[in-house]
Amino acid sequence: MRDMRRPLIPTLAAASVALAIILIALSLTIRQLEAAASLLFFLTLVVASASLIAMAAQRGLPAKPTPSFISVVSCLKCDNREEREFREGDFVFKRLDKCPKCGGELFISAIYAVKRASEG
Amino acid sequence: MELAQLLPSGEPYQVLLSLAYLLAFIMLFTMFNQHFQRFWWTRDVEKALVKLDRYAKQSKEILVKTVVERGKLDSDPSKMIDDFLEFFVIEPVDKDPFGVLKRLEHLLDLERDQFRHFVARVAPRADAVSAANLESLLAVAMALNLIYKITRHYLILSKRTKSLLVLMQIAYSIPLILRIAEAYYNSLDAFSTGKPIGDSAGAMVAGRFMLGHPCVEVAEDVVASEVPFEGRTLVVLKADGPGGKVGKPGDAVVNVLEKYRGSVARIIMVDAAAKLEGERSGQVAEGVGAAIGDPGPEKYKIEEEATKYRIPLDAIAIKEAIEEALSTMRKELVDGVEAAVERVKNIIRTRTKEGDVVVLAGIGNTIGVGNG
Repeated sequence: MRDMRRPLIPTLAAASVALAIILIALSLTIRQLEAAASLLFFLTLVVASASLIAMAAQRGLPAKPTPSFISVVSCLKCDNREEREFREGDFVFKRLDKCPKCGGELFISAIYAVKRASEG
Repeated sequence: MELAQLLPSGEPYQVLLSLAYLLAFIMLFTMFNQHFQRFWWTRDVEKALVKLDRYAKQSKEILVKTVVERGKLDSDPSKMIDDFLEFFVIEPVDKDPFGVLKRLEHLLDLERDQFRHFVARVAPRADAVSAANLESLLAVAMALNLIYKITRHYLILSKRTKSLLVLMQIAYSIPLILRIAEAYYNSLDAFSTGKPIGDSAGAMVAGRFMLGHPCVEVAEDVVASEVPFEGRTLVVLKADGPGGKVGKPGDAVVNVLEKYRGSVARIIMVDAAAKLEGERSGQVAEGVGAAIGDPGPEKYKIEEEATKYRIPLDAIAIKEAIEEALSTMRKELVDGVEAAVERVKNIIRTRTKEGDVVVLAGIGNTIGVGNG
């Protein structure tokens, strides 16, 4: 649904620009149209397009990216530190296995949310 | 200039058309403008109401699902949960403010007991950590339900009374209301899966000092560890984790100070604090006073006890937005926790001497944060 809405804004903008160009061309070529009336019509059209674009922009706000959750595993003795995906049951200061580097105790030193790289 | 120049001229049908246009514009800008304004405001509030309704319903669904999973229930708790979502607390009378904090504390204790009993009833087989998280989840679902109902109330009231004033107030408040509702909504994941939230920053700082040291309960849902630090003795306090609890840190500070009979050289309090727009998340600020955002009773006890023994009270705030305080902790706040730990160490090194006893209280919800 969201993906269908996103291209709406550039489409509307392009359409309003195209219409404006056509109007200018008409006002220059057909002499019977009074200049002031054409200008007024042109301005009205621009304002109407801008309103439509604003409304479309309001409706089609991009959804916030879903975060992923990282558990930081550190060693109590050495500076060994690694990050992995959060697993159910993880909590900060939870004791884990032995450190593969020094045999000290590993624990979760932090858990935090990050935006997925693919979603910016 | 003659007056006739201002009037439309030309063919009769052109004059009539011009007059019709003029009349239409006058009516548009004078008679119907309030109707248009009412239409746009009503539309804005109704759109927000759809969103708030979705938040309230989804929070209830997540709550029911979590209760069934954690409480290992065979029956459907939806009806009981629906009933409990209407639970309310009447604030104590403050026209005579004498003893109002005592009365408020009593009511807050009663509220907490009601939550606990309800969770024990709907999820009898949930472990202590899950039960604490369910209490928080229940509070979030209640908050979203209340936000939806209050917004709906003002919309219907404005329609019934045709009051533009009521409608305008709710329409202009919608962005702020949605901001708060979204913050609560985003906290559902953290409270249902037990991840630390932004408000856990204070508890995380305390946990860093408690790491590897045994702790004992010193007040309701608050634990303490005695930690040696560069010749000083730190008494580190935090809510009993990793369940979603805040405990009664006021009682804990009072109990610790009474135990040490005033030999405490300094009290350092660390808490997450609401940042101003434009401030950086995770920024650490330092000041004096009781850094705690409770409704009053706990803060009062700490101030009272610190004043009684003339103990300096340092406050360290980790700045964050309201959305961040309720949703899963972000990297910036983890960095803020690291900075706050260094700030605490610096205070201890520069403002206390060897042999001193220092109380360090990490304030906030300790969901997803163990006791070190």
